[in-house]
Amino acid sequence: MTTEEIKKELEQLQKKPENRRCFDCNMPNPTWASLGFGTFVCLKCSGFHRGLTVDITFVRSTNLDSWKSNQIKRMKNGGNFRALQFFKKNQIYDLDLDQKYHSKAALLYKKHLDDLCLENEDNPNDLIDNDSNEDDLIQNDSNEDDLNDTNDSIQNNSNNLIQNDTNNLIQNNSNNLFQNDTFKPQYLRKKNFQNRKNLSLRSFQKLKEQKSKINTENLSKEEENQFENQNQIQNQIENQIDKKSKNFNSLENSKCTTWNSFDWNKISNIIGSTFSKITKSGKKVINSVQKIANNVISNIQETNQFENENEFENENE
Amino acid sequence: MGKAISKLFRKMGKKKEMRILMLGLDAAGKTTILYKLKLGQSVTTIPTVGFNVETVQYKKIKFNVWDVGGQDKIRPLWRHYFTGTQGLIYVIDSNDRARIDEAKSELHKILGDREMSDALLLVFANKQDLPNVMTPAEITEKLELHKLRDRNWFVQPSCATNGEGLFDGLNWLSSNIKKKKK
Repeated sequence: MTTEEIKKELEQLQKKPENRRCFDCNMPNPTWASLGFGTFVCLKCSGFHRGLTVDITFVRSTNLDSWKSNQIKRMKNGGNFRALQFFKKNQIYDLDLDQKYHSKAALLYKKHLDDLCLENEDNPNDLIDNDSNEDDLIQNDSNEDDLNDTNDSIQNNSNNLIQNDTNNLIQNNSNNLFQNDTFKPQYLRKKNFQNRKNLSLRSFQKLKEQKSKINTENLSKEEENQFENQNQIQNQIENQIDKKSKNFNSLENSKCTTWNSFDWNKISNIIGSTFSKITKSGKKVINSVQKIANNVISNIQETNQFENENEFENENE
Repeated sequence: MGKAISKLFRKMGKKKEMRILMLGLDAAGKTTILYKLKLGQSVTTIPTVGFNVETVQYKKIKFNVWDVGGQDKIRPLWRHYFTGTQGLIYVIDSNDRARIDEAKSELHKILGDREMSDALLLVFANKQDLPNVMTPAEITEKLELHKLRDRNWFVQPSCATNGEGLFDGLNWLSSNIKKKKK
């Protein structure tokens, strides 16, 4: 985006009725923005936001600062109305500024905006490549003697990734917020879902690429069988993805929450990294890969069950 | 002879003044520092659109401190305050790692100006009360202060809200302005 375009976009955002009053004190025509929460605020309230430290929010003036395109994106994803809805639902809107912005819900909303902006970035492959967990897993295999231990640790890692990962936790938390509350902004669900789908498909593609690098000629019979199993599992996952995308197309965004709770990106990453393990340190890890893949399958089945149970719930809205 | 003595007395009786310009990126804490120095209490500030100026008395020296707003688009106006500045206080938000490069380039832009060639440079590594902030040494390195030639500079860790380090900074300024005169 050129500076002219950014200026225009910003003006358009400011012209929206929702953004024509300060988010915190309702003063007309706010000219400052709190990027952490994607809200437009007045000069006086912006002073408070600046005091929150740059870890929480970053204040820009609409006329005294030059803006970057990702900052505009963030304001587009946010806006006073969405923040208002969220804050009111979580009963923090009427608190005083200090309590309001130090509450868990406010931080959650900020994190949610972070996620949205991250997923909206043009190159989701970067996300996958930068995943540090993958590196950890690869590092583990440097010592072949401890392979059994590493297998366990892979297992643990994968469980951790699926269940305990902090990112996931936040994701789940925000999902819960959206599931339990009546607050379910349509745009959030649709975008999140689309991006997640694309991400998972891409990472799966990457996984397949990695697998094709494995040299199958040197495999023993037993290992060959395992490799076959592997392929079957892969196919199964592929089918599931196909099915899900078809479901998605027909039912639009009705099932997006279940998709969200099922972190495809992470899971395919785990499988991907273990495949790369095979290419590095022989084929001994195939067993553990299988275990993980089984985990994935059972996860998919659970998700499917959940979907079937809730199939028409969302359509009735 | 008598003329010289009276001149000396006049000089002793006259309070020294020092013109200080305080600059830095937006939200670094310039205004908070100014009013902590002036009033001795931490005030809630709003973004400075324009400038604030206050005189602060410290150790028989009258500091005229000019605090100018740091928003992107008003930074080109800084140079209008350069003339006659004896000391530059450059304030850094030690917590803002993302913008330390921006702070560096702005600082070197200021120091490159002819009007500022004689000014002392005091860097406040502000917001040291926050966890995991950049240390003064880290800031020195990131601002590339070692590359400066013919410049008397000093990095002072500070916390504007509780006042730590602020008067130490003024102390450095006052003692170094004396040295220069000798």
